[in-house]
Amino acid sequence: MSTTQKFIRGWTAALAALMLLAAPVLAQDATLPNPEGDVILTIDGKVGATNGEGVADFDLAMLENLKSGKITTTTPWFNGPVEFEGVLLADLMESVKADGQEVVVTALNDYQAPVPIADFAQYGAILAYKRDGNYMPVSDKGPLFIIYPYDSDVELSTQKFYSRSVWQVRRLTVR
Amino acid sequence: MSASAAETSGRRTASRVVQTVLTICIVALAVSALYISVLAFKRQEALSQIFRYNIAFSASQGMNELLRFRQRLAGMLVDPPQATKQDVSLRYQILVSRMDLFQSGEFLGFVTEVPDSREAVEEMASVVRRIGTFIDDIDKPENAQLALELTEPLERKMIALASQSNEYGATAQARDQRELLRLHWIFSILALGLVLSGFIFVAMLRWQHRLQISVQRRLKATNEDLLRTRAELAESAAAARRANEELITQNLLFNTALNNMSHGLCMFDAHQKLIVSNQKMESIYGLSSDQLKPGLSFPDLLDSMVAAGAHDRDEAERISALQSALIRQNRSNTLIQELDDGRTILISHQPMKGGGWVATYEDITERHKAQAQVAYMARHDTLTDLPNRLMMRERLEEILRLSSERALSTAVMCIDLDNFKGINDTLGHPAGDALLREVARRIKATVRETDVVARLGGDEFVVVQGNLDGSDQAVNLVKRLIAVIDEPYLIDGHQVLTGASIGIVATTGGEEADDLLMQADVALYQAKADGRGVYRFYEPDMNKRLQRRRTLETELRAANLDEQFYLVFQPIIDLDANKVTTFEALLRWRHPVHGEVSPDEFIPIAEDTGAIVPLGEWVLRQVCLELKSLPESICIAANLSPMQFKRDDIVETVARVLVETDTPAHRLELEITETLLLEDNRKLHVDLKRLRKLGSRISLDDFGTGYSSLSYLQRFAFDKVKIDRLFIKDIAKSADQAAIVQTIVNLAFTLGMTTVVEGVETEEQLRIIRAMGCDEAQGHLFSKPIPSDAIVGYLAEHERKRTAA
Repeated sequence: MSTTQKFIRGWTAALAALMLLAAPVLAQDATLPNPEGDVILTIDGKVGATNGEGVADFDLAMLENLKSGKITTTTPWFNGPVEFEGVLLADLMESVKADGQEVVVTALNDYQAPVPIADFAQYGAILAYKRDGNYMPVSDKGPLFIIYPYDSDVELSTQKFYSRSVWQVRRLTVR
Repeated sequence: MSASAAETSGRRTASRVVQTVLTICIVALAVSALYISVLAFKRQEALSQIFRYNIAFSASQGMNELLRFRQRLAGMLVDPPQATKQDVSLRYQILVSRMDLFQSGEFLGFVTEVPDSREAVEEMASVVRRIGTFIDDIDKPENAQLALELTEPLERKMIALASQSNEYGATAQARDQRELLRLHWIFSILALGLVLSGFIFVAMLRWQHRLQISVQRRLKATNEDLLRTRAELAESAAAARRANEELITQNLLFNTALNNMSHGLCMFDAHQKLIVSNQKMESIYGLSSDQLKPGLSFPDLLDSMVAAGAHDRDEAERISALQSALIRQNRSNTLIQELDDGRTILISHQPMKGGGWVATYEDITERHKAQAQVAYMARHDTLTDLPNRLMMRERLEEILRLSSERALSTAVMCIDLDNFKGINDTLGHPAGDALLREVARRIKATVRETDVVARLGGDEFVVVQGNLDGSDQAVNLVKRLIAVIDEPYLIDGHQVLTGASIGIVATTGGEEADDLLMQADVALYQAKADGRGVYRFYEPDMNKRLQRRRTLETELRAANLDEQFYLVFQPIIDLDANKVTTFEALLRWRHPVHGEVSPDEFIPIAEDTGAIVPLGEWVLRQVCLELKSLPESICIAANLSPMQFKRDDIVETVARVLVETDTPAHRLELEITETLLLEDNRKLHVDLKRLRKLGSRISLDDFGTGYSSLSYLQRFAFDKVKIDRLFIKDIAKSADQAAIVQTIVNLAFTLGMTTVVEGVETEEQLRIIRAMGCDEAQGHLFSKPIPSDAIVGYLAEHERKRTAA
């Protein structure tokens, strides 16, 4: 057998073992319901709570059920301060029992950006689904937009964080 | 000195420059720092600008989304369809979103700037909008196809947009870079400037440090200087202290000296204000120390003197005027000030340099008095307080002048006390002085106020009478004077008698005072010669007499007694026995030039000059020699002058002569004149006793003419009393005279004394005195004095007569 195969096999075994160990945990995860509406967000990667095959799908209602926050800030994409309402990303991670350092955010147009999970708690970033009280259509950077409170910290008004502020978010991959 | 001063100022300027430069540096640094921070901030902003929304990425994303849309469209058209309507719709939505982004925010800025891109975006947006009209029906192949066609040119446009945006971005980036570079340059320059400033700063600091070191060195030197100076100062302070102490001591000494001066002192400044005064001023003028405070003005000083009662206002004004004149004229002088209490103050005014003056005040009252006293004493006789010769002379001249002006007479009298010397010798000088004082008092009491009484010394007095009408007044005065002086004196319990001889001259003027005095003196001389106790007016020929007297004096002194003198003898007859008992020896002088000089003339001279002593001795000797050639029963009587008693031990002389001549003493009779007895002299008493003891007999001659009191007869045991011729002169006519003679005779008889009457010239006189009981007689009736060689003849003659009768 080649080393790669050995490697894959080893890892698969480890993964199986892990899943076996995690199975009760996974099996116990009944807090994560199945989405009823259109899935607008999929969280995969190192997640503890799933409602699919290693993935956690969310629809709008599920997201709205989680703890939400509001951020009113100016942005480079809109004129003047805008009020965003969305789920606190820190809570979202917790709800899926994310076990990783980083989240790779993928947008609908396959734009990808890595975001450290630490940001969510540190800055209170949200995954916004409402702008100025209105849901965002895809044509208006919806349905989900990662928003930092840019005005709260001058550091946030930089490209570093702008690049993390992905709109048209489709998938969060925890790793 | 100037070099270092320049150095110092140079250094000072340098340090100031340094300070300014440093300040500028600091300011520059601060400003730079500020600016740099601002720049940094700006840089930061710029940087952040660079990292802001990436337009190129957005454009490329848009390109990607367009392609995915077209791909989905194409996939939908393919059989079997590769994509769903939802996929296409989704892609379309994403595209719409992208279009929105293209038309807002930063992208819009870019789009606006670059016209080509604007056009592209507009075109794209219109296409998208158009597609939006049928997007719901996009599953219809014709719509999909249309969409594909519409979007086909967009690809190229999107690429162009992307590249434009890229270029834009690059340009912006380049611009930003340039900006950054600029900032960097500025920053670098500033940093460099900062560094330079730093260096300069350091250099300045070093220089400053050097300066400071040099300053420090200088300071050190200065410090040393200061220390030295301090030491010097301490020394000078000590010296100053010493000097000050000295000054204090000196001041003290000065003060002591000032206040112990015997004179008062006042020093005034040019403004007539008092600067210095001493305590003596207070005592002189009765001022208090408050009144003599410095600053007192000169007029105020005089006022306070007046207020203190030292002198009255008039005197103050007089002094003020005099002293003010001196002050004005800047002269020194002395002023005499009379104080009300009789004191005299000598003010010595001395101007000082600078306008002030110093005046000393000396109480010269005593000196004045002393001077006055001296002046007085120079003019007065100390004993009697009468004017002396000097003053008398002045007064005399004055009186002469005044009297002659009024055509009146002036009389000058020279008064001489008779036998003053005798009194002085017997009673002593104190008694003599007392006598003189009393005489002076009596004379003064007798003369008028305006007359001058002076004592010329010894027992000589002068009286000057002026304003006389004639000489009668003078004569009256003279008589009165003689009488007054004649009065007895009580001196030390003794009764003293003296008389005065007065020579007087009167003049109506035109004569010199000295001449008058001399004439009065001559007249006095005459008075004395004339027997004393008398006055004589000057007669012109008195001078001659004086001259003669002077000559005789000289002659007498020089005379060879044997050659020029001889004796004559007058017999004394015993009236009972009618026998010659004694011869009185009388001295005669035959001068080779002057001829016979009367004993009345030369005897007084001899007595005065003392020539009487050798003369007397010579007489005694001659008498003794003569006795040898005479019968044993005959005695010779020699006159003894009082002078002989005074000037010589007469007893010893007599004894010696008797022994030398081998003469029995009883043959010698000694006649003492009555005036001798005026001297109440123990010595005289003793001498007479001794003479009698020798064996000689003593006769009292000229009895009754003098002042002899009867007690003398008892006290001094005489053998004979010779009654003066005066008493028998008019005995025939005057009962009084007769009575007197009788009394004397009886008295003498009672006392056991022989009486001899002198000057018997007439028979009648003889008869009377014989009847009275006189023992002996002498006179011209019997014989005048005869020379010795005629004695024998006379005796024989007398004997013949006697026996014949």
